[in-house]
Amino acid sequence: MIELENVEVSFKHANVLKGVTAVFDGKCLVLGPNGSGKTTLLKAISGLVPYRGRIRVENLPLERIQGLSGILAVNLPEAYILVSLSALENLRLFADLMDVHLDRTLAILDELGVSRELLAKRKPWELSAGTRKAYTTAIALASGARNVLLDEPFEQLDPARKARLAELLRAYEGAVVLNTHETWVLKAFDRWQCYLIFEGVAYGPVEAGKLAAAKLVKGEASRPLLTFQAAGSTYSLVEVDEGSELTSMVTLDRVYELAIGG
Amino acid sequence: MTLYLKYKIKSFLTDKSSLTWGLAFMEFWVVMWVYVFTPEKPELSWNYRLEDYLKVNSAIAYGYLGTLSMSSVAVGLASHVIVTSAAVTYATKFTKLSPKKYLLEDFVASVVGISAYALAIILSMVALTFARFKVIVVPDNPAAVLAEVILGGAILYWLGKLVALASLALGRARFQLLSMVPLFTGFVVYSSLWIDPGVYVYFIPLGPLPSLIISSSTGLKPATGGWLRDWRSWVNPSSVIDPALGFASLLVWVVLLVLASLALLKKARSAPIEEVALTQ
Repeated sequence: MIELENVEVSFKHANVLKGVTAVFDGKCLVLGPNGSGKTTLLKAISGLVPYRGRIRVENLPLERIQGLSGILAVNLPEAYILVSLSALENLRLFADLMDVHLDRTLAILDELGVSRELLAKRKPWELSAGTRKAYTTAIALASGARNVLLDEPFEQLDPARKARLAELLRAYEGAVVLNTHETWVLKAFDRWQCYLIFEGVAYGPVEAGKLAAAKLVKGEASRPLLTFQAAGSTYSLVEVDEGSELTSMVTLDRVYELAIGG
Repeated sequence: MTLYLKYKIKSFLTDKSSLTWGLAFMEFWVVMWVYVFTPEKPELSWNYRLEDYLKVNSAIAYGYLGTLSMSSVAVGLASHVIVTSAAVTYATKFTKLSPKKYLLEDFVASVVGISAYALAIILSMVALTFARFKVIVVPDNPAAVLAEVILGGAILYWLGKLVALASLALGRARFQLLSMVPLFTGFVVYSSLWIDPGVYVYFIPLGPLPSLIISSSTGLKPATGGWLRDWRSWVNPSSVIDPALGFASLLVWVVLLVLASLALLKKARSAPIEEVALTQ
């Protein structure tokens, strides 16, 4: 379980996260447009950026966690460049540091269509964007950590690999926090809890299946599932029959296109 | 111990930049020193035998070229600290590589990696001197030479760390200039082959190191500098390093660099992946 209380992150006087309060227990989606602060949120939970507020992982304050394998793993690529090694040697290194059998990671990579031969030839940052994403996601999932943070794990994956990864995520026994801007995940993971994030503010949680069927209306609706602010306007997600579903937007970037009259 | 130690040493010994500038380039100067700068029949006096001359001549070469080689490798270490900054933060929290283990393994691996380059210079100098003159110029006190090389490696490790942390704290636009600080330091020390800094040698990071290596290798008094101004002054240099003060200077530099690094540690922010890809 991960608890966040009034978490703020600023870069050069710009507030990227503005007082995020959330509890990630079990499997959760964090859905938001590009630039909304999703990746920064995962970086803050992983300890990679300075933050204000409180973050607790498995009831432990983040700043006090040291050398504890098995409680949290993330798929951010920069978290896995510890030494200049081939991607395969790097897997061996992290298998050792996370007390995981290398074969487990290789099996997940095989599922995601990444060959051992390729990993032996290239360094992690020399892999293509899609392969690199699959590579770090496989390390995170193979860790078996109680909490796995996945930043846009489906991005740049082909449809076949997306489907295989979705199966792996459903089967994962620990908690998962999955960041994405793509709305199809609401239907694919309809039982998961979902937070929306816009302009550094988190809203929710709401069950993903309900959001998938919800309609987006401008302004404050009565009895909404969720109300959020974006581009200076208020939007509501409501359970009504008429209107277009959130999933028809494909990505949440579309909210801004609507705001400017697209 | 974790696999980190083994792989970190391996990364030092296989790093292309370090192999090019820390080894191949320095080996070029080793060859030049033995085959071009060293006369076939040096003018000897004061009961100096050829063996003695060659021993001092080679010790001067590996003392200074070894220091310069380690400085070159430390430039790579500084960029390594930057590109791994995020991974170190993450790994020390969420893997069994605790901060204590990381600091120990990273220090040991780096000092071994940096020192290996200086030892390669020493070995090649001894081998090439033998190849040309059929004289074996093994250091008188190899253990002391090894200890001095390791101390030099420790200073350069912390200098490299400090430079990287400073650029992470101040903004990475300054890194191009800051990353050269270890090499610049190496060249300042190298210049003391001709320019004698006198008592100021104690105030230069690594300043006393080459002379202490020469002294441990040959038994000569460690001159404060100017070894190449006149080889006849090797026996009676005009200004001498006090070995105790020399070691104290090196140790104080280690302590100062550690303290400065710790002060910058809290201000340093990890580098994003885009910069990792650009700097590798």
